[in-house]
Amino acid sequence: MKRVIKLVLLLLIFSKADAQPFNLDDRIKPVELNLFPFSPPDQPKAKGRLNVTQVTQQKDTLYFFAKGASIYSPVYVGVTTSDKDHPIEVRLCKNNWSDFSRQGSTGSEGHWEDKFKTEGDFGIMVIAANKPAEYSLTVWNGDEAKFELPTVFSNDKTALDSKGGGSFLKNNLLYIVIGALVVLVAFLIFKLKTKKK
Amino acid sequence: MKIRMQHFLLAAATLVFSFTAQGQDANGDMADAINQMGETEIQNIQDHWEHLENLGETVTEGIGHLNTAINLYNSASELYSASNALDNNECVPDFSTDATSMMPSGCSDNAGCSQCYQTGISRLTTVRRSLARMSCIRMNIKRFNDAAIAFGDNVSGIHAVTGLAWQNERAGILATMDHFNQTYDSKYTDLIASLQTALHDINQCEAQFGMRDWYQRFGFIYFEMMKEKYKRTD
Repeated sequence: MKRVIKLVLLLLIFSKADAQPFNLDDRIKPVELNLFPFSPPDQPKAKGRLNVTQVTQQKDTLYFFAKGASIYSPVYVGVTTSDKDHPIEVRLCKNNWSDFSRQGSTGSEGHWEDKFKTEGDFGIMVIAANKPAEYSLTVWNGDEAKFELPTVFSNDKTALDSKGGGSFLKNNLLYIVIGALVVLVAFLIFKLKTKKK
Repeated sequence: MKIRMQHFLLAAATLVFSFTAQGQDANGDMADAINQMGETEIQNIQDHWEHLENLGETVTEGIGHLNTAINLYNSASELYSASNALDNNECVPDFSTDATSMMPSGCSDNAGCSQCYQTGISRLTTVRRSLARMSCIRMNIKRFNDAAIAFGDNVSGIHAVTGLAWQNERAGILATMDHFNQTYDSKYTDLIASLQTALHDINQCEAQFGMRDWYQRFGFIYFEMMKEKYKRTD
């Protein structure tokens, strides 16, 4: 079993080709968000990795990325600002910074969040119309979920031939009933004929 | 006294300079301030999850929102199941099995049989998860690289110098994909061997508690189906 886990780990290390959103523009310098192990005793559901970043943004757009998500674990991204009059736009990118997969705004609530699952890296673009924009960025990546896989067993009892008698009776019940009825009818006819004689 | 004064002025000048350097970027614009919490600070949040103080208004509020989002679900796996893939085109493992490829099992209500099955079923589950994930990683990388190449091909046409630089980058992407495919094939072989071991383990239990020749009659069909499903064809 350990061998299998090692193999997948090896493959994941190898999957560095699946890097942060692809970029050919030298002016875009994404900041890597470091996720640290996180396991609050009061909230076992939150076990995983966490990054919390405080930002004072002067540029129109800032680019962040996080690494190492598993497709079997949930990811949460939240942006919170105290300036509710000037919403901050957020875009989540997977392949490159031009095509975003999801977007939203902190709006009048001063908060935006989204949850998803993904493999490898993903990018976060934060666009501020009003500068300087002060906000906090929260990225949480939960541990791999231990969910039940759908069964591969049909539990087709008719296919069993293990213990002989029981299965034979079940499989041939219809023939046995028909046979018994035929015998019963024959017996009744025979009785009827002998009575007449 | 004069020397002390000079030192003071020098120190003051250095301080002013360093402050300005921090506050401005190379173009003379004001620089962004990005403060990521370190491991100790994250540990502090973890230890005082329900009573966070002195972290700043937006940070405390942001973590409160995270807590609320997590509390909407009874478990982490429920939260996971309620989440969709980040990108609509992203591959998500598919564990559905074609009804014709399902296998009957003679192990139903027998306690001894369940115990015997545990090893085989556990290995089978791990292999199924690993194969599905590995296949998705490959599909996502392929899509990522295809998108990157299409993106680069479009952009590189704008300028000759950029075009030359892109050709190197492009060759690198293609070489990485080739190397990745080789690794995939090698890991695929190992995982398929592990799948076969799992099915043979189940076969032994079936022979003991369920039906004879289970692998030859049912396990083999499932094994062949899985081999085909995850085999790289490009």
